[in-house]
Amino acid sequence: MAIGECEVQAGSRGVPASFIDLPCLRAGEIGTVLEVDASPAARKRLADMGFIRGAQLEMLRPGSPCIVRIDGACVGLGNGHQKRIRLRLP
Amino acid sequence: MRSEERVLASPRVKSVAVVGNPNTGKTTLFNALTGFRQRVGNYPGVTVESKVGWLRDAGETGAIEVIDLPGTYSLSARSADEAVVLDTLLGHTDALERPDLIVVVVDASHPRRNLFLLTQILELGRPVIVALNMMDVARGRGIHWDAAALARRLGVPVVPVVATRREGIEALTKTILTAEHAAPRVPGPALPPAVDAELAALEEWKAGDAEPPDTRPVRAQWLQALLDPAGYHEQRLAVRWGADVTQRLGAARARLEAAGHGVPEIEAVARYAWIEQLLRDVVTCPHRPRRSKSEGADRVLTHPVAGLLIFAGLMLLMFQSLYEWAAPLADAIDRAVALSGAAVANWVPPGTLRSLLVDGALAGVGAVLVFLPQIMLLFLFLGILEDCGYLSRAALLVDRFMNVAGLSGKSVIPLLTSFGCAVPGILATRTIENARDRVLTMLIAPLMSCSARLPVYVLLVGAFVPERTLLGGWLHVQATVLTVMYLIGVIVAIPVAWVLKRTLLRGETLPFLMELPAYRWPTPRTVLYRVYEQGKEFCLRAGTIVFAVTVVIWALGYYPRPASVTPLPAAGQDGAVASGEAELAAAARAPAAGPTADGTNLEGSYLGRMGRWLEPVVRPLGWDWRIATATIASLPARELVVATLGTLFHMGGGDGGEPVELKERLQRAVRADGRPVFTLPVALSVMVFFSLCCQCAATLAAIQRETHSWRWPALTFGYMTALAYVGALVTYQVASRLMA
Ligand SMILES: Nc1nc2c(ncn2[C@@H]2O[C@H](COP(=O)(O)OP(=O)(O)OP(=O)(O)O)[C@@H](O)[C@H]2O)c(=O)[nH]1
Ligand SMILES: [Mg+2]
Repeated sequence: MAIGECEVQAGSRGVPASFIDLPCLRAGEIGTVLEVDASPAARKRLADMGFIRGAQLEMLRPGSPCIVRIDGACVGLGNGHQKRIRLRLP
Repeated sequence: MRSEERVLASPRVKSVAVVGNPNTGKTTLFNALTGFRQRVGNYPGVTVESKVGWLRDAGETGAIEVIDLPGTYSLSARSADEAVVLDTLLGHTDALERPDLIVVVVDASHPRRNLFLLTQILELGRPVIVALNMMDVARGRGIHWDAAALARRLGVPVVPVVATRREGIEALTKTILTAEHAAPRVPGPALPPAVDAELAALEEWKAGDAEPPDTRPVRAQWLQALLDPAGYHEQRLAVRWGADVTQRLGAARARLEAAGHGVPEIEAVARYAWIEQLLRDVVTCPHRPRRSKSEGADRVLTHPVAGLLIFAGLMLLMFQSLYEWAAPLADAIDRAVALSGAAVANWVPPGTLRSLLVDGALAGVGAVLVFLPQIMLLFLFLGILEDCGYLSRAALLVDRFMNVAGLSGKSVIPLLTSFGCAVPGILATRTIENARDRVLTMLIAPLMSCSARLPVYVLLVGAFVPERTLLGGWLHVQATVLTVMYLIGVIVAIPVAWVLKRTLLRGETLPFLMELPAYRWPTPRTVLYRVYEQGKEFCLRAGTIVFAVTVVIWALGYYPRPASVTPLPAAGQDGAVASGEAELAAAARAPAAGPTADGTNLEGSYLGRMGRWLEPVVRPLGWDWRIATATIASLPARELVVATLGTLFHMGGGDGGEPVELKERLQRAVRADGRPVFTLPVALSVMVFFSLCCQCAATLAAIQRETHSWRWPALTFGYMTALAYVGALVTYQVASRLMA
């Protein structure tokens, strides 16, 4: 299955293995948002929908756009948003 | 005057706004409260305008206005539909007075995110009632609410409802009627002191300037202006007070960043933390949510390969069945129209009245009405797609392909809507945040084959495409041609969008971001009402615009009355158009000239003369002058071409009253030189023309309204007409060579 643009593999780039970008999350995995590193407008948009530090995301369908579950709701996220969301794995 | 009344009568509310996240059931609730039947559907962005109704059980208090609004996730607007919400809530529209009570619809099955908007609205300083909707869904998921506890903590009434089943509507109505005209005093989420200080400074800065004081921005507005760079509020305030505002806000943001506050997030972090506290003991959720059926369905339906195949299959099924399933019914209506034409012809003596009734009204309006079954079937399909929750999945699936053309998946819903009618499709573009992408979507929306093209396709396919099957009976040629007509618009839209995106509408496309609602069985009531509504609309159009244009066409084709069967009145007397003269001379020699057996005189009529001028333009397309005339007559609305062809070929028909269906009339029609008017290449060329042209005044007006400019509708009409002509030309030239 295509996993979008998963360039940063967990463990590479000297980042501890438990930090990962959203596109690298596999189906069924859950992560906690660490930071959203997008433009202020996009950050505002995402924050309004609940994508803030500490929010739990479950990957339902990886790819571009992916589908994640956040607070019980399914949200489709395009690649431009996905790759800006950094997660911590439990 | 109204505000005076309010003071004198009672402090009761006069108007109520229904606000909430997208797809939480606001319109369903609005309909239940008012008895109206506004459109609902299971995808975010069904409602994109404000709609006003009146509370049904207002009792003695007099009329209470209820305003349905689009959905929004927060009080900062980015797209046009979200701006409608703020314009209404803040009293920025002239059409509506500022509502004095806000009903916030909260989807009980998604507690946190819905309360985010609620906490923002509580700070607007207006009375609020919380409608806790979708209680049935919440219960099904094991989510339990303590509404009384929530009301106590928030200090506002909380009414649990199930809008679809009208549960709790009475209680909500009562709560609205007895609502106090006082703003809640909510212990809202505390923002960091540094933010509070900035807001206080901003408020104080403009405290004296705002006259009347009613228009003074409240703190909640300053907060959104501060947090959303170049957003709705900043733009509004800048229009009012100039660039000063921008400068001040920019400086404040810089100070906050320097103090270590992430500017857009501070608010969300504070609010979500507060909501977490608020909901403790108010809501109990199951510890680990069960995997829902909806997610199981999504495994297949949004699968990158299987999902796309299913989507393509669904669309093909829809177009194919439009022909296969509805054709028998349409044939029956056609037969009935032909029979009643013959009956009228028997009762009414020959003459002007009979011609008007039979050739004008029945042949024209009847020709259009025949296609009612197809129209209803199309809207049945679209209604089911809209109400089951599939539309937003379609948007997600197609997003990648839309990116190639320079658009995002957000444009998919307006485009799919346009298969029904481009006007609601153009309205639906309001959900697209990026203004340029929005205009681009409007410009290509009319290329999607709308329901008004269906009559043209079905008539010509039925009359001229052979009724054969290929691939061992699997592929019906007629249904396939219809499907191809639908695909032409889609395929042409891609390069058109690509070119526009690289020339007039350059700019970055925003990444896809859309909530996918849980699948739901379509409600028969909703879907059938939509079919009924569209069927009614179609008949209404047949009775009004189609009827009017048909009568005009009939009159132009009936007059002037020839004095006797002498050579035609010489229109060439004016001597203006040389080619027209030559044509007329040819017509005079032709056997069809002069009044026909039933007393009509089409060739010599005003219409006939006009048609002759058009002939050279359409000759390369293989068209007869009558087709050209019908095309011109259908400038206001596409289905008119069918009505006009009905009238034109009835008048020239001279069949003295036997019942003949329009299909057959077209097959029999001959030109002056005896060749048939229609052949397969001609029929294909007409269909291609209509699939690409923009003969629809309502569409152009909608684009004008939404863009506030005549430039875009003019461009749309221009490019589509050019495409249509070229498309028809190529089709005819290629097809006639292939057939030869
Ligand atoms: N089960 C259930 N479904 C509901 C309820 N209320 C609304 N719905 C369904 O939810 C979907 C959305 O309803 P709408 O009324 O269109 O929602 P909206 O908030 O107006 O949506 P937008 O205009 O897109 O913002 C429809 O399919 C409704 O049938 C409810 O109380 N229970
Ligand atoms: Mg709605």
